[in-house]
Amino acid sequence: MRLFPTTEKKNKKLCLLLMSLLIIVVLFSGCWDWMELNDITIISGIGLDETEEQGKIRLTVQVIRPDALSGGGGDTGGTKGGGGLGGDETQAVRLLTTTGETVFQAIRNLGTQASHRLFLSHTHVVVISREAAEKGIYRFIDFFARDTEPRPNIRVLIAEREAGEIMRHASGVESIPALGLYRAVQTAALNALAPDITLQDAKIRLASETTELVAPLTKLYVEEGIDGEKKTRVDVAGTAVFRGDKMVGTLNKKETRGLHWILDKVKTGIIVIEHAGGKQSLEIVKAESKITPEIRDNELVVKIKLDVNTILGDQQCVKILTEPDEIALLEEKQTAEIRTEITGAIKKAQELKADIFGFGDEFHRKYPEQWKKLEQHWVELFPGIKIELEIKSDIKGTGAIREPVYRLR
Amino acid sequence: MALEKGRINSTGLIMLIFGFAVGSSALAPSGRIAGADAWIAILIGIAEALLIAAVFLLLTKRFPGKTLVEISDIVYGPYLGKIISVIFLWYLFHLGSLVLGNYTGYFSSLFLVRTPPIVLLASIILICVSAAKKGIEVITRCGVIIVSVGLFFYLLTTFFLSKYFEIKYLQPVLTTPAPQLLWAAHGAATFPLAETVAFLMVFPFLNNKRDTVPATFTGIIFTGLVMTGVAVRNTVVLGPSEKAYIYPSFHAITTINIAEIINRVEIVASLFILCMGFLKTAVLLYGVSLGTAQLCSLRSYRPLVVPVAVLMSILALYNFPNPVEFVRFVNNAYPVYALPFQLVIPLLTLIIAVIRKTEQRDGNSEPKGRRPPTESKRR
Repeated sequence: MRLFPTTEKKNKKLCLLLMSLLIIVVLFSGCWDWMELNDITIISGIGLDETEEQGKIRLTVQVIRPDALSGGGGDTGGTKGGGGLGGDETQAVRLLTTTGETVFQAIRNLGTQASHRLFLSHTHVVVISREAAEKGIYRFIDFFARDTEPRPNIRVLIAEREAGEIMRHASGVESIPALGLYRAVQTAALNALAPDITLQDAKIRLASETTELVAPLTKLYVEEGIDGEKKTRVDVAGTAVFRGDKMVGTLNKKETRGLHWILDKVKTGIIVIEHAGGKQSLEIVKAESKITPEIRDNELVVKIKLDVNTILGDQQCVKILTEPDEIALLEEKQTAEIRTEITGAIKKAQELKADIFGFGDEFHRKYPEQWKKLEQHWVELFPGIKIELEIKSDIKGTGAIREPVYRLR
Repeated sequence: MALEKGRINSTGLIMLIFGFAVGSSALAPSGRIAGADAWIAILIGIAEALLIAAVFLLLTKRFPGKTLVEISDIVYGPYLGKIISVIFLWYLFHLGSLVLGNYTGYFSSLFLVRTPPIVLLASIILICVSAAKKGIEVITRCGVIIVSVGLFFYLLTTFFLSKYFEIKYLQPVLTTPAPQLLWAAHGAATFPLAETVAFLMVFPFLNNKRDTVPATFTGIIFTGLVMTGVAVRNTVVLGPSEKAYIYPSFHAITTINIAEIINRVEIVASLFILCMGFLKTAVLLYGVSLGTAQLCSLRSYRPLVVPVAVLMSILALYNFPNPVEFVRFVNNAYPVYALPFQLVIPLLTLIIAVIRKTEQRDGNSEPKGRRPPTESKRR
């Protein structure tokens, strides 16, 4: 019996073609790994804490409810709320908690609560509690390095208190809090308030011989809403400093920016200086840094050259500041402020004996021969490094007005 | 006894060589033992591979229009010649199974974790069987398309990755101790550049035999340069974490994230790499089938393709218990294991051919049995 009304030979060919097409369609939609959107629970944020019991990990995850995001039917997670429910943002996610002896086991233990197979490719953030980080962070990171579902652009954060509570609260203006946190870290890093550390960056820093891990800090704060109702939300500010894989200290806001100055990561921000009886803000428009290591008669020196351009953003005094000598004074004060921030960051890092700037790697690159001897003692040598700063900061503009609009009477 | 009527041109050969070599090196990049200096190791490896290639190219120049099986018959005589051919064909066969196993391991550990590996294997080998049955011309034509588009895509991904480049990860340059660097270079030469010795089964079907040497050299150099580019790219994107990964190219491409829109492209890149793997396996499968058919003086090689493919698949499944062992084999054992096949056999054949003054200029078939030495005046 022929399937197709053509010659014998053509029929055979067409049958074979049809068969192979069918096989391809069945097999190549993912084979045994075929996943239907309705069958998966998309995890958007993971929080990891230590339990009171020794050696166990508590996992708190934010899980996306697709039906709450779009009108109905499974839309993919990660989109902002379309029509559907406006109002309460946290309805777009559910919170699940389990414990386990390892991260992987804890995630699998979610199976009973999750009702569907877990899907990690849309995870945006991993938050680890400070307490757990102080005991060692790698036992959490290894899973995310080994499994291929989590993406390398997951942001890693350290919660000042408990990671679970960070997961429990809203962040940013997204309907999915974890996505909001993900964007918040990037915005904070833009203003040099906290470092933007992806999983990839964390892996590179952990794999490096001497450069230490840093991570943004996150905590809760209380916000008063429109009707005066108080809401707890999540904020990203400050840096966690590690030595090896254990957290050893933090950097405050100014020190964090110092870190960014050195790493050439300042994109924008405000420098506040005091002058002529008031405070003025200068907005950073360009910042470039160059690190040069030098070994001078057995002394380790790092020269940091910084080139900064700012714009006068706002002034509180009424003096006309756009005269050249006034500008020069402002530039001096600005330079002094930048210098304070940088030296503050370096001092703190040297106190903590953590080379978070990558100075060790710079010495390795420039002096590979001597590095062989320096490497083993780097933790002791790093605090003794002398820093020479050369800061060139210029005020390139004053905004739209060239003198205060207010005329003194 | 025309086992293969197809002919390929020199561009096709260059692209086929490229696809053939990339087919393995994309998944197990060479020179990683040298760390950040891997790119230097590969450049040295290109030189070494060209030297090895010179040997078997001289051999094929001496016997144009003849595959290695036919050449060994002529040079060693009917009995020893067949033994040498079997040894060489075993190398191609084993290489095919290694490639299959590599690809199966790659897709199995990264993408389709639950799928039984044999399903992945079957998917690849079925297409290779179909291509091998159709002949070298079809394989080469596929190769031209796959390599052209694949190269373009490779450039595209490198371009997208450029914002993640940290050139300082390449420094300090040339600090790897020389033995390590040279071993890495040798590794790059044997895997995959000098594997072009397999093309001894393909050279007879080139249109213009004079193109053999330039095309092969071009293919090897070009492939080597692209491999260097890949090594540089992986180092500057992944930095110190590069040595932890089993498949560094995968992780490098995974980091592409342009404005949250162009991301997750590693699957497309993997598909192109899979196509290169198809090219390599198809050529090897073809070589083994053709060689065996010549060995047994059969009328056609086509009936042999399926049995060889099945055997290759079975071997592929059992070669290594896990991908880590495979990489260890590639780094440590393969550079030594491959040398007899890539260098010693062609060199020996060449030397004996010169000693016995056997030459083939016009492609006449030789009668069986020992022949008296022939003087040929044409040079």
